[in-house]
Amino acid sequence: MTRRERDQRRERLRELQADEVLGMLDASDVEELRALERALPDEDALELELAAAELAAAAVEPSQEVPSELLAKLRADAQAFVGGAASPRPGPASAGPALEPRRVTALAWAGWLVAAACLVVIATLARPTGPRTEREEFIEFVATAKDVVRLPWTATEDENIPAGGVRGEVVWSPSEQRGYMRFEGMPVNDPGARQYQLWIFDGGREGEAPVDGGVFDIGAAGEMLVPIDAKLLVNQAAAFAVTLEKPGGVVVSKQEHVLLLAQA
Amino acid sequence: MTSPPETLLERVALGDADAVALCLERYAPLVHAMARRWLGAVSDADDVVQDVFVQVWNSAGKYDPARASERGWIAMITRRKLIDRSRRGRSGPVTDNLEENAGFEVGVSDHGLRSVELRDEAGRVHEAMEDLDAELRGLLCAAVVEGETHTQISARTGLPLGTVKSRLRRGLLRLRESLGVAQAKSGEARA
Repeated sequence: MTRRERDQRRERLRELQADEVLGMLDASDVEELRALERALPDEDALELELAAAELAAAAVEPSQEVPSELLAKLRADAQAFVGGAASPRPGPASAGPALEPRRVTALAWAGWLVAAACLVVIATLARPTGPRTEREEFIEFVATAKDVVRLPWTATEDENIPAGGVRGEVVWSPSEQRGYMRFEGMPVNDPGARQYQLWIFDGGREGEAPVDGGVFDIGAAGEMLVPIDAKLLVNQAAAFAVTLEKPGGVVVSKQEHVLLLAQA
Repeated sequence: MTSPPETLLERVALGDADAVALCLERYAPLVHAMARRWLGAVSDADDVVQDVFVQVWNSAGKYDPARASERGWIAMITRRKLIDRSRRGRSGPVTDNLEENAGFEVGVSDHGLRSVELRDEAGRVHEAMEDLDAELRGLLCAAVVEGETHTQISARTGLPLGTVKSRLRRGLLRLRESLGVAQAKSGEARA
């Protein structure tokens, strides 16, 4: 085999390995992949797979609290393993102490997490530009903005909050002066009757009215992504609030219906 | 004389109860979040998380810190389980070979991806992603993080299927390349 032929085979092998890691390897290509792997045993797919895995890990925000029922199952499995039931090889700790129940909490997850963007959505989005564009823009935003702040929503006891509650977060970049709101379970509104409006409380404008963050609609159930449209420069975003207002929004809210709050 | 285990997973492999508990505490939130992001359904996600940790316990002895960080290794197992779960009920490419290689028994790299702070790892991925253009980033996130198939991505974006496949492939290859460069820089900085 010439060097050129070998290089071509290596390149083809990498392509097929990438396809496999990405879950898009055609059945017809499997045999070719295996043959190339046998011919080029030094070219394993581990680094490709690790690259994908590291991206997947970096793009999510670890759960703040693992459900207690799941945690109990995990501990039971772990206990069985430590007790030797599932141990691949006996170890000195097989007779060691039982696993103490621990509350699984997120560790120092606070660091920057890449496309935490991908946090979001596959949903219908609220802007006329369409969900695909919004989603892609959001991914781009979180992947590139280096000072993204993420604040979870806290639902108030307003009568418009559904029984199941509303979850989500505000994602804001102080340097870029833009961001997104993510909602789960936010009630669909009739734009002709009432619209949602975002307010940004600026720590650099104490005593002044909050900055208008834009009027928006929720057009469908499920997870929704809405860009923030701040009307003024926000020096220090201290809190965000969503109110329900008349169509078109208001200049100063009477705060009759404050639905969600997110505080820095 | 054998040296004492150095990494958490080496201790797990020896059945160290404290290490097993610490492993759960450290990585269960990550695995759970990855599963929820990919599958959405709570019950399915919980099943996957359980499967992942059973495999972690049973495969910890195969973990090679010279080839992957613990976080990367556990994330890789998680992805495999998620892909397998997504494929149930429909025909598709197989992952048997990837599964067999879970323990890094083939080849040994000298990249020295030793334990690093989780934050550093995420930052390293961030840097690597910055080397890709926005479209590639979006496509990779859709496929790798959200679990969308290339067919779904094609339907959503309007890009021809072949284009989606070739761009995803190119994106992943470039990400790996960039991560390798970032890793080398990180190793130089620590040296």
